[in-house]
Amino acid sequence: VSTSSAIAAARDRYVSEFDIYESLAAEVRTSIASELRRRGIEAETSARAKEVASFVTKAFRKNYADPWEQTTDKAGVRVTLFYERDLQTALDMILDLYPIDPDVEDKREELEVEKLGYLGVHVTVKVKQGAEMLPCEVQIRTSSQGSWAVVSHHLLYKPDLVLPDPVRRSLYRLLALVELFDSEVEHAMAAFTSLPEFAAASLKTAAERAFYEFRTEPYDQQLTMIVLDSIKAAFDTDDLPGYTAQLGNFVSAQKARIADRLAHYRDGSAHPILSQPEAIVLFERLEAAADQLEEAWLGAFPVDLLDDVKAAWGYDL
Amino acid sequence: VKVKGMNTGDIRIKRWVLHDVPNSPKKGDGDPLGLSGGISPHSDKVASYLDRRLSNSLGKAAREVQEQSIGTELAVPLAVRKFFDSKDDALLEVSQDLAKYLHTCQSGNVSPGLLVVAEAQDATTKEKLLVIMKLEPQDGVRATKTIRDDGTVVYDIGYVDDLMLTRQTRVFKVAVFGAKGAAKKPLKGFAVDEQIQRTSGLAHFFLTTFLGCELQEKDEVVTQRFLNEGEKFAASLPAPQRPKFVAAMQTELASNDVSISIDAFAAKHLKVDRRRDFKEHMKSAAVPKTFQKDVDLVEGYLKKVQMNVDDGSVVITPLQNLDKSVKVTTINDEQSQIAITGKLIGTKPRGNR
Repeated sequence: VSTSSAIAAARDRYVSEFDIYESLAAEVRTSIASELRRRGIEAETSARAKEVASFVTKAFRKNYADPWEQTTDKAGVRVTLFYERDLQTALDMILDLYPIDPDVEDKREELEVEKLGYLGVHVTVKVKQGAEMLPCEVQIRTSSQGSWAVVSHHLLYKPDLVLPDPVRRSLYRLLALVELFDSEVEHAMAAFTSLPEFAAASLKTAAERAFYEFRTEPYDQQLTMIVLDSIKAAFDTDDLPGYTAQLGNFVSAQKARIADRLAHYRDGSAHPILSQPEAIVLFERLEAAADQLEEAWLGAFPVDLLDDVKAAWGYDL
Repeated sequence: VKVKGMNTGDIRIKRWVLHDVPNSPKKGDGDPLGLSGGISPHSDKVASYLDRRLSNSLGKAAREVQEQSIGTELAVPLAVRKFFDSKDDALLEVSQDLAKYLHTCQSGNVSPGLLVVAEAQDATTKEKLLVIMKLEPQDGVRATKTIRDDGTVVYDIGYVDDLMLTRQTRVFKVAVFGAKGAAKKPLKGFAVDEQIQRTSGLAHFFLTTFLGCELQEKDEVVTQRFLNEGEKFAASLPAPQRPKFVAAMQTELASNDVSISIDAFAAKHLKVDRRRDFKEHMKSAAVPKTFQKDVDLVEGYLKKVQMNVDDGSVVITPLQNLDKSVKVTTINDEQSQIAITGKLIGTKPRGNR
């Protein structure tokens, strides 16, 4: 049973170490956000150190015997996903990033089938800070789950203000809408990705975004769609939704070389493709999956055109 | 010493001189040498074409070369050093020296062509480069002759716009020397002779007779390494695929083809998702992307294939039996079945008595 003195001691320690937890949260957020981007998972992230007042309130409310050790969310990171399908991938990714003694609280597994409830996943990871391993709680949820969590936090968990049961029930009833929302978004995504033009359109979005980092001239959009549609077999279908991020990573890593090639072949009369956005996609595929690109290409265009793209990108001697 | 690290897409042709070099007359009745008296007018389109053509050729088949060590300095290494060492602009003079030398040694069955001598630069390292290209007329380019007001004759590259259609038929030879490689003794650079990939008779005219160079690593050594490294790579394949792959290497080496292309071999014998690993393996073992076969060091290994089974069985069979009287089939990821169909004509104890 916690005593006021134990809480006071923990509070004092937290006040003096607050900065450590603030930078711990920021560091974890940065590494998670960077890895999410690298893997093409669309999400928003935020970080915070728990407010001192919240730390004390929680210690009293939970009646912690050891408030310092038992408060594991002093540093916290929130990952808000656009799609429910990414929840497991994001969790696995975080466990890969922080493999030492993680503590996973998966609400999806805890909830019985006939009940409704919050379905986010909370994982407390251990992060090395100097000689110590410090905990940081990472909450992973969809945006709709997040909305419900925020509302419920404000309206359902105030010890001094209890809403009437019918109103409380109406708030819990919203959880059905949360599940429906995420489920319908998933259906829409599935329909979207199965459209025949989806592959080329996603690739074009990615290519255009990368292209505008270097150039502002108009380009032949029809040619771009034809080329990208023809090489879609050079991609894993699962990779397409996150390809914009993947291409963005490639552009970051190869910025100088891409800038040089696009500038050198700026004049479209020298080569039809090298002055177009799809050139960047082709460069990326030459590095990531050259053989798959070649197979896809040979079914659609003369090999010499691809040879020119390869030549422009260059071979390491 | 290797002159490594260059990316072929970084090579930018800046200026060039073109000479029309017919075959040297054996009995005094040949065409005269069409020597340019000036630098060719610059054209972005031609420069861009040459950049890509050069990158493509080097990327697919460049070999590291060095000047022959025969005691005296040969004409091309001498000219290359002159280009880099001269305080004045020596491109025109060096190109003329090279054209005259090519004309004297180009005779008989050697195809006439256009000699392009170009100053280039590595866009990343800014290293100055000298590029020597021998183009043949079907290469999508032709020589156009202009006589300037002062009487100077300048040959230029006429660019044929239907280049894409004519590409399959041409032959292209190129050498690239950098300032760093030219400062070395022996001189080092890269060369490609696409003709090597097709015929053997004239293979070394460009490299040996004209350039006065030799491969830094002999073909027989490269061929042996290809086989050794291929065997190592085979160990990474699922067991049932290994015998066929090893046999494919042996077959390729024993065939009448003059050269081996790593890319073409991978495309022919490996599934698409395994090709990259194979190419990377060969690259890390410094096996060139294209090389002329020389089986002197491996001849004994090209006739039979041996399969070892984990139960102690060993099957040795002539290569030509594979997939005919000796069939290897996949049972699962771990197990294969070797079936031999034939008339059993002998059985004897094997091992030490």
